[in-house]
Amino acid sequence: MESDRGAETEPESRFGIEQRLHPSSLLFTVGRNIQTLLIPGLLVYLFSRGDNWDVWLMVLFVPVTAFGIIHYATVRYRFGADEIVVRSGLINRNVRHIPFARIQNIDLRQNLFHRLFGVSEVRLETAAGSEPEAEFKVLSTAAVDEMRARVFPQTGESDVDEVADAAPVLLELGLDDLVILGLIVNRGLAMVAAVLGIAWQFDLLEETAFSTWVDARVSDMSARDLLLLSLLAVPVVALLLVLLSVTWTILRLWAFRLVAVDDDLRVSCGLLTRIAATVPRHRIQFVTIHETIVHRWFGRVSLRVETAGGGEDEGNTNISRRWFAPLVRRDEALELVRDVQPRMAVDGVDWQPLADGARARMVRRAVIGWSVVTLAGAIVLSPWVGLAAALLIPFGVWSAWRDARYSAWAWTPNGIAYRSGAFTRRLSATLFEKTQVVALHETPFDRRWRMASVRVDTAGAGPAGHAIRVPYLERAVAEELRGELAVRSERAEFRW
Amino acid sequence: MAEHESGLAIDGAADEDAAVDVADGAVRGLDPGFVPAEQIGSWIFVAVVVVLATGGLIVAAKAEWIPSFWMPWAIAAAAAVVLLLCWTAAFWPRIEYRHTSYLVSELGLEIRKGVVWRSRVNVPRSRIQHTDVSQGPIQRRYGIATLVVHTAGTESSQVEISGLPLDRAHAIRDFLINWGDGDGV
Repeated sequence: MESDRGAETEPESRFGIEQRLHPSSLLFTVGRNIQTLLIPGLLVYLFSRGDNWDVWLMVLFVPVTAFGIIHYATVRYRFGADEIVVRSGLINRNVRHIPFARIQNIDLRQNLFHRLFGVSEVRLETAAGSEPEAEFKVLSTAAVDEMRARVFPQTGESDVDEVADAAPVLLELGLDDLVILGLIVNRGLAMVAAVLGIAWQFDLLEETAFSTWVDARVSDMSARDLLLLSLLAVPVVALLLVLLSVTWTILRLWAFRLVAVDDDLRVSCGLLTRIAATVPRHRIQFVTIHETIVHRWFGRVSLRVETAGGGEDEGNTNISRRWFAPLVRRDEALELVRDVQPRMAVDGVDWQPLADGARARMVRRAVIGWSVVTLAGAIVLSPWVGLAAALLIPFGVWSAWRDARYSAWAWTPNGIAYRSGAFTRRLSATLFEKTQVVALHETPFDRRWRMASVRVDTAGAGPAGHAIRVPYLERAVAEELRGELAVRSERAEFRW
Repeated sequence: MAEHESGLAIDGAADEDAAVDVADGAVRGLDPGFVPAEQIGSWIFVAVVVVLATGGLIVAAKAEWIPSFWMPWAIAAAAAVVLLLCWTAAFWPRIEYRHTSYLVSELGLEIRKGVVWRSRVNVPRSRIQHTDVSQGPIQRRYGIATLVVHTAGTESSQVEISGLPLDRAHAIRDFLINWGDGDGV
C-alpha cells in the first residue's frame, strides 16, 4: 500500500504522520494582527483630534487573534504517496487533498523575524485558479525541505538562500544595478505620497507645534530669502526622494537572481524579507520589454511577464511578474527573452507598420485632446493654466509622431508581437497557444478611415502594463490578422 | 431533420446531427423574438425611470431643492430624457437586431456586435472553459436565451450573445464544449 512506497525512500521519513505548523506561527499571527489592527488604532487614539473608525479596529484584535490561534492549532498536514493532505478548521472542518502533480511551485517568503526563527511562509500554487492551493504560515526550514523533496523529487533545493549552483543564472543584480534601478523606478515619490496619505488619514497634518513653528518662520522671511529657500529646497527634496527610492530598491531586490532550473524560472531577492518565487516556463502567457527615458539613459530595459494560474499575493506576484527581470542591458534583453521562453523570441522579426493614415490620426487626436484640456483649464481654472496647457500641444504632437513611427506588429515563429510608445516604449509578445480571445474593434472614426484595431486577450493580463492591442490598421489587414490569429490559436493547444 | 428535437434534452447531450449542423460556419442573425423581448425590458425600465423621476421632482419641488424658477426647466429636462429613453426602447432593439450576428464553426464561436462601436470577437473552441445558457422571464416567453462563454482571458473572460433561440443555444453550447479530450488545462 502507500506506506510501503514511503518506507522505501527514507526510513526516518515522517511519511504519513501528521505534522503541524511551526509553533512560532502563533507569534506571527499575533504580530500580524497587531500590525493591522492595534497599531492604526493606537495611532489614531494618540494623535487624532476627532473620532475615527480605526479606534474600533482595536476591538477586533481579540476575536481575530483568537481565530488565528485556533487556526494554528487545527492545521495539520501529511504526505501521502503522491499527494499532500491538509486538514484545518475547528467548526468548519476542511480536508484538502492536493496531488503532487498538480503543484506547480512552492514559494517562500521570509522576513527578518522569520529568519530569526528559521521559518518561512509557504505557498503551494497549482495550475489553475486564482487562490493558492495551500498556504502555511509558518513552517520550519526543515519542513520546507521535506516538502520540496517530496513534491518535486527530481529537483533538489535546500533553503531560500541557496539556489542550485549548477543552474544557469539568467540575471543577477549587483549593488550598482540596484542603484540605477532605484533612480529609474522613482519610488521615492510614491512612498512620500503614501506616508502623507497615512498622515492625513490620522489627522497628523493638522495644527501641530511643528507646523506653527514653520508658519512663523516663513512669515518672518523676506521674499528674497523665501525664493532662495525654495530654490535650495528643490534639489534637496529631489536628492531625498532619490535616496528613498534607492533604499527601497536595495531592500526589496537585494541579491536578485533569476535562474533557470529545468522547466522553471526561479527568482530570489530581498534584504530584510527574502522571497523565493517560481515561475514554470509554460505558465508565462505574455512577455514585455519595458523601456522609459531613464532606462535609455542608462542603456537598460526591464522585462515583465504575465503568468496565469496562481495566487494574488502582492509580494510574490509583483516580484515574479512586474519585477521579473527589473534591469537588463539593452543588448542582452533579446537574449534574455530567448532564455526565459525560447518560443517567444522576438529577434529578427519582420515588423509591420500601422496604416498610412495612422500618424495623421494620432497627431490629430493629440491636438484635439490637448486643446480640450487647454480650454477646460482656461475656463475652469484660469487662463494661465490654459496657456500652459496650450504650450504642451506641440509636445503632444511630437509624442504622437514618435508613437506612430515606432508602433508596429509582427508575426513571430510561434506567436505575435507588438510594440508601441513614444517616450516610454513597450515591446510585447505572446504565443498562439496562450491566446484566449481575438477581437477586432472598429470605432465610428475607424469606419471613416477604413481602419480597425485588433486585440489579443491573454490570461492574467495586467502586470506588464501593455497588451497586444494593435490600433489603426487597414481594415483588410486587420481582418486578415484577426482571421489568421483565430485559426492559429485554435490549432495551438492551450496549457496552463 | 427530426433529429434536432432530441438535441433539446435537459441534460444537454445533443446528438451528432444537431451538433454538426450547428457548426456550419454560416453567419446567422438573432432570433426575431429578440426585438419584442428587448423592447419589453426597455419599456419596463422606462416606466421605472418615469416613476422615480416624477417622485424625485415632486420631492424636490416640495423640499425646495430646486427653486421654483428652475422647475419648468427641470421638468423639461426630465421629459427630454424620458422621451429619449422611449425612443431607445422602441427603436434600438431593432437596430441592434440588425447589427448582431454570429457564426459557429470548427474553429469556434465568432460574434459580431455593435451599432456605432462595432466588434468581431473570435473565441477559439479550445479556449472555452465553460458555458452558460440563461433565460430571463421575458426571454422565456419568447423562447430565446443568452449564451455566455467563459475563457481564461482577462478582458474577455466572458463573451456573451443574447437573443439566440433556446434550442440553438443548447446545440451551440454542446458543440463548443465537446471539442476534444480535455478541459484546456
